[in-house]
Amino acid sequence: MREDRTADKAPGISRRKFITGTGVVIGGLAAGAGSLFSSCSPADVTRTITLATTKPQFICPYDGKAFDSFEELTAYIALEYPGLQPVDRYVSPYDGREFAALDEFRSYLDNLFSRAGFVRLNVNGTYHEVHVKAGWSLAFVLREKLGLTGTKTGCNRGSCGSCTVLVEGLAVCSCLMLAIEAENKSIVTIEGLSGSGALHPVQQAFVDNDASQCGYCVPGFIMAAVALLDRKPAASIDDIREALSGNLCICGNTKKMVQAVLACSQEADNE
Amino acid sequence: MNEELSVIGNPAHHDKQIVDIVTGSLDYAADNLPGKKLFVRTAGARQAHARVKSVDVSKAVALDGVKAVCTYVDCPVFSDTILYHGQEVAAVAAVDEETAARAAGLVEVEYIASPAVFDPDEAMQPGAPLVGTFADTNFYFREEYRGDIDEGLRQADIVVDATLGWTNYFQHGTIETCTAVCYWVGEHLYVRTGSQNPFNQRALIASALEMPLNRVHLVSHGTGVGHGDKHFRDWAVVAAVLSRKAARPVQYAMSRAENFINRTHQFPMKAHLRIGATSEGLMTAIDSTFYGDACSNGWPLVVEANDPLKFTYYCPNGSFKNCTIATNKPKIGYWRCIAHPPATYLSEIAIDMLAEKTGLDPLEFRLKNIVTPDMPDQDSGLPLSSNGLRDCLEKLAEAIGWDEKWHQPAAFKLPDGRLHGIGICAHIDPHGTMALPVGAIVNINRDGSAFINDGISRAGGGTNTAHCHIVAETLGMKYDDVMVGDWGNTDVCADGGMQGGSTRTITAGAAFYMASLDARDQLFELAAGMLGVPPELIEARDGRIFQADNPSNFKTHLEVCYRMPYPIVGRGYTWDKKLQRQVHGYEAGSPCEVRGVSAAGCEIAVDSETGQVEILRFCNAVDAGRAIFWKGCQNQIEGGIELMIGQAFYYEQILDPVSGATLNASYLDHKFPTTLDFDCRRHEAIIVESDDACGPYGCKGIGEPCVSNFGALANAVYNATGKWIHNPPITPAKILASLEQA
Repeated sequence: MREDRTADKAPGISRRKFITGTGVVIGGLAAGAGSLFSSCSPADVTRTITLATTKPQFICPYDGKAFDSFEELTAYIALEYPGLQPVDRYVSPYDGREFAALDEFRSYLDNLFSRAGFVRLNVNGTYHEVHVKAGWSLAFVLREKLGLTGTKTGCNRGSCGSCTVLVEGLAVCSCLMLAIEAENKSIVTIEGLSGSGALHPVQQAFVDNDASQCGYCVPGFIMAAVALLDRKPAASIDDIREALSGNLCICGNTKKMVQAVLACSQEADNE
Repeated sequence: MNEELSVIGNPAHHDKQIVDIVTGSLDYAADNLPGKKLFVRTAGARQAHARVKSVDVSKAVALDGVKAVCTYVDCPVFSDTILYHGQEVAAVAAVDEETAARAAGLVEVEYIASPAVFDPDEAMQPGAPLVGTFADTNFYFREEYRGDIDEGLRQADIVVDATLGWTNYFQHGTIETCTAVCYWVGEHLYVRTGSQNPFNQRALIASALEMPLNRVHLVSHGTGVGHGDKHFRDWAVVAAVLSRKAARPVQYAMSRAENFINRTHQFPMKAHLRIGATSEGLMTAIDSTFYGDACSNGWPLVVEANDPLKFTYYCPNGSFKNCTIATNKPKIGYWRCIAHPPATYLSEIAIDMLAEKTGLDPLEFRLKNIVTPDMPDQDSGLPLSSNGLRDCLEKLAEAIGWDEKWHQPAAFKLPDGRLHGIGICAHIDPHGTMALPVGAIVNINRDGSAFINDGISRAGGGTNTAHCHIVAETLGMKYDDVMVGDWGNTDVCADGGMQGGSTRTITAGAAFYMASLDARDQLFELAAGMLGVPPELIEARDGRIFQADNPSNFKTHLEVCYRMPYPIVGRGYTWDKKLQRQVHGYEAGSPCEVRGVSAAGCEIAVDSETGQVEILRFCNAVDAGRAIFWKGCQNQIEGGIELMIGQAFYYEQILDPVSGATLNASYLDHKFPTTLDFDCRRHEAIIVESDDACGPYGCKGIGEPCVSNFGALANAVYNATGKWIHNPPITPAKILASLEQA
């Protein structure tokens, strides 16, 4: 089930989510993550780090208010939103799995989060459960743990843009974002652009313009361009120059890349 | 050679690997073995000149997650003699880079320190600390002469006498840092690395580890650009040593800081130039001395610095000296050339100075003095295989509007008050000449298509695509029917030589031309039986093999290849005299000189209040002989413009004058230009085709010629402000300071 079926209506509580079904109220369960993140590699578990959130919380689907127990939540809904249907289904905010009974739902989540060091990453529409260290960057996990090596790294300081991916639709240097920060956010990498087999229009424009020399920086440039055009389909050349200015091309090939992106912009006809 | 070309130079053809690149599937070194590798970080010396007394790695070894450590004791590319600040003394392999970096920080080193010197002028003074690179001195001179320099100076009515420089010291900053993934299978070492010279790199690795060549297997597919610093072995040897110790695959992808400090650098250059001309503006004497700061490794790359003056202008009398100086700075190496970009920068400033004194405009002066296509080389007397410099300059002048726009220095302001300037720069260099012993393999498939096995990596703009053009043209195949087979793989390819010296298209291209001829002979032998005519009467073009005088008697490549009784493999070796056509009355096959030829021009606006320079137009005219892969050629020339902007305005590695430590070892502190720093629509690549007599299908090398004319920017700044800035990078601060001088 795709992440976009959920909606985060609880401002400031990023990892607590719920969904509403057709007239059905579903309580979401926050991560009771006493030992969620671990500083160990898959091969040799060494120790764990305790994070702040230690107990489950139940979120009201109508206003996002959080409660410590399910009973408190149902009492609150009965009081504040009389007439709405009672809760009859439970949906995991992490993978969309549905449960009819609260006990079953709880034990599923307990099991999920007792697996120390795992995060769930939604990459190119697929969920991956990945064993990570707290300090690992998203770029490192994408490349070394998920094998998505189309995302390149050139500096690990956010200054070359080679590792650009989309996170919730925005161009992000994946070397600057921790994998744990990216949990449950929608991530798109260069591999995700042409997942259906056909090239993305921006990729096709790079082909048409031969906008590459050594090619190492190209995935990052393409992701930055896609983020721009998703946000602003009629991007001007100045928009494009600005959007690509976080990416370095040491072969000096930016003229062709700017041309390629311009060819994808709805402004192209007016230029 | 076939003059009717059906594949070569077609602007519609795409790079053979472009789809792999845009989908992120072309594999670079670090893309290998995900999830199975250890990662490396190194400990750098905290002294610029010292001997290591002891290294204690016990704390590093004890750190959780560390799997192996090596030092100069067991790693042959490290040394206990420290010649620059940051030089590696130890390396750590650990489960991730953060752990490796933390462990590297725990390595404790004791030094016996010596005094160090960083300034090349100081290093030449008596009593300066001895760097130790050369036996008992920090510098030495070499010289060459032509004609009679004293007589030449006597004939001169006008003499420019100028000391110019130092030019900038900087690291290549290739977007992929130097990277190797190494693992062992028994006694066999497997290396995946970004390389500009896979076969030589394998030999260097094998010799460092004292192994026979047939135990080292090196594959270099994608390379995140080689501007000259990916020829060597160090990073792969470190990974190999640690991999053997840890019994795990090890990846050493240098951090950006490690790459800035420990990989090679473009070297700073200074020149003392005395150039004389008659009152009519004809050059009579060149007395040049170039000083090269060869830093801690002391490579004498400056010996090539006189080439632009020697080769570009006709001048009967010359004294050409150069001086190699050692200092305690991080190592130097090739940067898209050996010495010509900074040497051209300095000498082309002097040429503009001389032009001004003679009363000629810079273009007129050059057109009057450049060597013409029919002139032989002034020192060897051999003819040039081609020389399109006049064409470059004329096309450049037209594209940039030289005649309308040139004015006396500091004499024209734009309506917005900024100073307008225009400048040109031109040079001839000895690139593209190396007839290296390279090989090429062409494999014919049963369906009438072909694979090429290219012994080089993809380190730049699609040379293997250029090779596909040459093979398709020669075999008469359609462009789509020739593909890149495995490449950069020392196990299956023939030695493809060095991705350097602007030689890939010309030298490896020549080997592919010869390999295609070999395969074509075998194909025609087969076709002869089918067409009923002898092989010598057969030709091939556009996917057909046909009777030369009766093209309707033809077979497709598929029809011929389908019945191959044995596999057809074409083998070609190096450049061959067969390739050479007649040069200017000299016989085909006789010795000649091949030259790289280019010119650049730019128009700028200088804000005299802020010192900011805006580029209004930048044209780069390069003699490609013949553009083989047309778009790749255009890309490389356009790329040359951005690299010239970088050299003129941005690149500079700054060292602390007391400790010698690098102060700006990151892209944040060492700025490389981006899309906002120039408007790429104002850049224009001009491809000049002089039809070289040596290159396959008339091509020439362009990789280095296209980045060497950044002196055009200095000349444009002078035209705008009336001030010379001969110590690039030309920063706003330097422009403001120059404007304040009387």
